[in-house]
Amino acid sequence: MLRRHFDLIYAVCRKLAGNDSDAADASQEAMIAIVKGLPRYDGRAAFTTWAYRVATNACLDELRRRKRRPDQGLPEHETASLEVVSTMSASTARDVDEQVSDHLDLDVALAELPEEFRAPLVLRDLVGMDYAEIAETLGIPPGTVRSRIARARGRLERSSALAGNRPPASDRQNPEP
Amino acid sequence: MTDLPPTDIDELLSAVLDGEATAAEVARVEGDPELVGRLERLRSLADLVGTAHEPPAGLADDAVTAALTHLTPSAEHPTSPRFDELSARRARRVRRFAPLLAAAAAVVVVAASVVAIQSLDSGESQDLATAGQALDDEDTGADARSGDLDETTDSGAAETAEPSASPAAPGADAENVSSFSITAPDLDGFEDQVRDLLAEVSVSTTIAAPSGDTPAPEQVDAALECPTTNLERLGSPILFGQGDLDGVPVTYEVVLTQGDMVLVITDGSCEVIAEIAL
Repeated sequence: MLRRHFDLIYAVCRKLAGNDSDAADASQEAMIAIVKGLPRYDGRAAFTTWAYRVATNACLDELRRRKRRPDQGLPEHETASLEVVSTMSASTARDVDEQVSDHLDLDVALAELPEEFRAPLVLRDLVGMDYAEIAETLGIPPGTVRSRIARARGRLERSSALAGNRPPASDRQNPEP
Repeated sequence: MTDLPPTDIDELLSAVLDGEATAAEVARVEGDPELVGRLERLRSLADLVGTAHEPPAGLADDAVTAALTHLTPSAEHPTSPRFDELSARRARRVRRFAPLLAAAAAVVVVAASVVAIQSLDSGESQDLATAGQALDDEDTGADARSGDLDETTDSGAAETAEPSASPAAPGADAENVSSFSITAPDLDGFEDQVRDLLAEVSVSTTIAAPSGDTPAPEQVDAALECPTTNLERLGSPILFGQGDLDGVPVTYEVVLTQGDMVLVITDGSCEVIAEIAL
């Protein structure tokens, strides 16, 4: 059961953390939180909803703890591209580079979002939760979920980090604030 | 283009994208080509956010194994140093035994199915019944376990339980079991090992409660060599028995906990070798 859900929990932590190293530690903490919380699971929510709530909050807690610590070296995403591309053949390196670049841009853009915007967006777009489930997971009203996701998307759309994925300026409706 | 303020447009498009908008809101977006264009761009962004990163190789197994070492009984049964020690050793052993444990899990699941089917067919009482065959190898410790079992039972620890560790009624022997296919998705690639184990392993299966009720702890105490290893922590097993894993005599229990079925394997010195979610 834990193994079955790990990949997605890792993916959530990865999107929230923005780098592999923090995501690995955060997802580990998330799994421990699930195991420790099992005796308190009362069956009122679906197990997956409960598990993702526990995991998401554990991941966020771990990332907050890390934020308070001094920086240790460069973020992984600054070296990831080189490492990945160096292992690829020349014919595929370009595609991979573009994909990596998209991810790195997204990592930067997501990192620019306040946590309260980032978490609901990730739970919606990555986990596929509806607003009610996100509200339950994060302990906020559904209306707040709706507005935060919208604001997160608006900021992503206007993010300079995602300039390569952005439509031409003439197509954009909302200028940079 | 709509005359809504930008933040309201963002919210409108986002709700439509997520299928959380009203019919009127959807119609409003669909009637405006500019909004439809923005909606598509937001959809592309959502797809990008929804692209999952794969975890590094081995991280999942390490994380799950480490997390399982934090399984604690409850507030009234706090983790003991002994348990912590066993957990650490278990984590190391899980890696070593991983393929065999997976195969053993399949054997137990299949055996459980066989016994359950036979129980249904027989329609017999809810008394403890044994099925399967005893360990072939007299030197594997089965005798010692029988002795312990008889002693415990004789002492009156479990009046209602009369489990027999001696060779039992015909039932889930390896030949019968081998006719069943392995369907558990987690066991892909282990079919050959399961087949080998079926040929080599003798599984002595004791069905605890044909009705599906879990046995009382004292009943399990009477039947298992290491009776209290998991009871307090996980609850009474629905199936338990003794077998042989890679030459090591083992006791296995299938426990229903939090709605999931867990296979717990302990070795002859009552150390937990593995817990496997089935």
